[in-house]
Amino acid sequence: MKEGLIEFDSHVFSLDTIKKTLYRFSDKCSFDIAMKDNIITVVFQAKTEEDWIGKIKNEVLDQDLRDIISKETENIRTLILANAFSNTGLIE
Amino acid sequence: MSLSAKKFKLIESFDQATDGNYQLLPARFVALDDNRYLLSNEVGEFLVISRDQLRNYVKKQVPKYSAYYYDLKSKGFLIDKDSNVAVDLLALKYRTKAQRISQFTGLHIFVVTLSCDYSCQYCQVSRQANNDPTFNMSEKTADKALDFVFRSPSRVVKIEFQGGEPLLNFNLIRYIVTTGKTRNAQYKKDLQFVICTNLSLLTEEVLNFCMEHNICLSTSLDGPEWLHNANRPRSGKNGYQLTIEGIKKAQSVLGKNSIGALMTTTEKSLPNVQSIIDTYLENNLNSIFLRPISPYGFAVKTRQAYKYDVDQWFEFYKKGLHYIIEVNKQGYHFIESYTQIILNKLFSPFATGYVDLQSPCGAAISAIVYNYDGDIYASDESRMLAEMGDKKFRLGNVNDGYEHIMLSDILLDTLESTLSESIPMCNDCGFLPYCGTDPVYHYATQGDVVGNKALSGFCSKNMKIFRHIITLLEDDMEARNILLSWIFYD
Amino acid sequence: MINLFSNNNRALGAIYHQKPFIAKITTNANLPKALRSNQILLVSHPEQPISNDFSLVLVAHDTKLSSINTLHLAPELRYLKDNDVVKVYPDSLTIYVLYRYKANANFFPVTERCNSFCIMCSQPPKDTEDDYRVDDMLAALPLLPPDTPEISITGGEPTLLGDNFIRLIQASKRHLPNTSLHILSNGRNFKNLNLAARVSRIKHHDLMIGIPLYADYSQLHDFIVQADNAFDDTIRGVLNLKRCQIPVEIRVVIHKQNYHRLPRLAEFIVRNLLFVDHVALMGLEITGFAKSNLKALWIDPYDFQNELKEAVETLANSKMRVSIYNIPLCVIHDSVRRYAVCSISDWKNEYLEVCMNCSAKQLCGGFFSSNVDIAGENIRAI
Repeated sequence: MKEGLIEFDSHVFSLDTIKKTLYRFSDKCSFDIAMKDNIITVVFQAKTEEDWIGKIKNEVLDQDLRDIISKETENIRTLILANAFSNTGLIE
Repeated sequence: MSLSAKKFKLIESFDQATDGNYQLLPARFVALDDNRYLLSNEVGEFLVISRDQLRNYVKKQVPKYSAYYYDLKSKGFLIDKDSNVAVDLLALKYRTKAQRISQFTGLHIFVVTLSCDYSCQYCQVSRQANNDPTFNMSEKTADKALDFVFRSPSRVVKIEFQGGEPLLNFNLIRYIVTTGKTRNAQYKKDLQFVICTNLSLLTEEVLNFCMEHNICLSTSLDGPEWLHNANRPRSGKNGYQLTIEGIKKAQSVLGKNSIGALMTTTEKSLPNVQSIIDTYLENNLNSIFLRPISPYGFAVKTRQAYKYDVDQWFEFYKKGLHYIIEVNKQGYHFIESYTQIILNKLFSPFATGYVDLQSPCGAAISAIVYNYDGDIYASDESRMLAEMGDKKFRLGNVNDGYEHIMLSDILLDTLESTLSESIPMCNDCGFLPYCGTDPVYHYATQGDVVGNKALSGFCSKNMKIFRHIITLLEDDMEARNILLSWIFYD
Repeated sequence: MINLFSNNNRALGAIYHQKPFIAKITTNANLPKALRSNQILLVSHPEQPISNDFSLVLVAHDTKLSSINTLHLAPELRYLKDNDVVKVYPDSLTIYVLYRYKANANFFPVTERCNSFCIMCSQPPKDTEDDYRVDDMLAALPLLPPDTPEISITGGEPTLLGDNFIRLIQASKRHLPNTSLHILSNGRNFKNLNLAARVSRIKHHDLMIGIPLYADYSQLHDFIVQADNAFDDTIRGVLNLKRCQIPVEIRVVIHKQNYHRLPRLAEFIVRNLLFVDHVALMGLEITGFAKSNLKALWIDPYDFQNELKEAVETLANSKMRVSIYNIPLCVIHDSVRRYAVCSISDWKNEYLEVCMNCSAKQLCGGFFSSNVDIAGENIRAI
């Protein structure tokens, strides 16, 4: 298909997740996004014929995983970086 | 198990972890192909896994006694109640990789003249006609530039002479080398010199000087004679012949390891990767750098920059790498340099110095350029952009203070904006630890130092290369062994 | 295999000593009298005189003579030579050999206590009061010839000695300023930075600490050493030692429980411990616990040659120094044979009959005496 519409439940996927996903397709498609009554609606127009709905849905799932990782590891990441840049050098 | 049961406990007794109860460590992932993903951590350790394995990892469903669980643990993707030393190790490894930022400016480029005896179609340097002294660097400028060089904290400093054709101002090269070495007695840095030259002026005097001071040479060899001369026309003697003669002379006087060559890809090169590599093999060279074309200088004016898209160049690279691996299988150790850099990023605990793949970008902190007129640029590309009329990345002049240059807004803003971790699409890309940012490229092509990576030729090219190399490592054991032998550990 | 102690000695007359004592061996019956009281004379031939004034005389030939302060030396100890150092227990007439000048390795086991309980331990730990071992080493050190190339401190776990551990390193430096010191430790107590710093402050001229790491993840390593948190402690210990710029060697004993992870362990070491000074990949010595746990541990090295090859290549490619110890050349993949080192202490080193025709016998370390029965059908002459 070259154009279409996908709906996402905003309780399942955040608006940020959807936006980050669509950004990755910005060379191939253009998008309109709207949110009403907790439903996120994405309307797309692509340059070529491909299974865009399938691709976008899959990428949303992947992006969702990324967001889970990011949230869970935020604190430990700060700890690791703080540790990395702290001043423990060689002991004379 | 058959341990004498009285005294010894089984492995379960020493495992304080419980199923489904592990903690994720920072990780990113990216699809390699339809079935596989690359999972990478903050310091570039990685695993190639399936989609299911990825989901299980994130959803904490990897079973405790599987090899996959232990791989995730050992490579720093999770910690559990049994062990958390991975956190200490990650901090140490991150620090090691970040070292280059505090040890900044390893590469100092001196543009000693803009004069050149060639008229290369794709010239990024915007050369000037021969021997107009206004386009030569003066000793006074060189002295001031050397002041800057020795302000670098980096223990290893490489001074690279570029041009035009730098040998057209050989006296200044001589001056800079001798003055530099004398001044270095105080700083005791590991000081190295390279001359990027077309070799047409490689006299005995120059060779002796290089031998005396351990100077390496780097030249352009675009391929077989017809291709080299088509890309790099020269009035007078046959450029290809001069280059080959120069290489032979340099190899015999300075040794095979003291001269390297690189090629630049043009439209004409694209169908001929094998014969280009053959030219290198015939001339006893150790390595080739399969470079694409960059959108600067004369390349844009003559419309060379847009003549081929990333896909076409990538086919060229793929065929070239395949052929090179075949050559290695025959026992000849020949390296493709860009691949080698990526392999280092994948496997070595150390950062690489390659300027164009750094985060934050290599501007001024990996390399810095002192132009013939004393103007200082954040990188090679920055200077080329200036020659096209856009001085956005000019940091100042050698007459300005070191702090004024290194703490200038343009530099700090650029560094700050080019941290991959802060860039959309880059910040959660599995290739982040191996990739970099190229602010000048994105500025030149999209008008913005960050750019939209979905539209970026830089991103597209690099992702294709990463996918290709990692897939080779996974699927082709023979190729894998050869590629692993290319890695150098510092 | 040679014995390092024996109680098969017979008194040939009354012995002066009442308490155990440590002294150096000499074969020089004409030693100046002023020097004799501190040395033990070894008499090997009947024609040689039994001189007076030595601390003790050992007669290494069969004699019917009586002589005061003289022992008839057990046959199994007759390899003793000049400059060797022994401890003599006058009540039981037992002699322990503490140091051999011509040995390829000299170990001082300074305690039998340990905080690990490795399933293949060749020196099974004992929870005893054995401070006398510290005293023995301190007494022996001044007697060692100054051209001794290297000595080792082992155990048990030497760092359990606390202050005495520091004293031993200091004494090694003081008495033998030209001798390398190799310490075998599980590294766990070095998770306290203070201990590493104390060792560093001694500024021993040539010290290396050999620390075992058996797996690339905690569950397996902790199981092999039978101690919780051992993996984390050991890694932290290594990091602290390197922060204090003390040379560290990682030692990996390979057996059935961990050979399959060997390539991953090599990758782990390259990514995380690239700064260690040496990596030793070692064959199993079938003595102590290794013998009782043989079924769980023994695998013919021939069967892990691929894992060993991969691990060596990973380590060598990264420019780390790597060696293979205690594995015969014929069962090592030939592309990595050059990393094998003759490493078995001479007193427990043997070869098989099939080795006698082997072209590589001079280069090969052979077998542990305790391993010869199980060596396996893959041993062959190269």
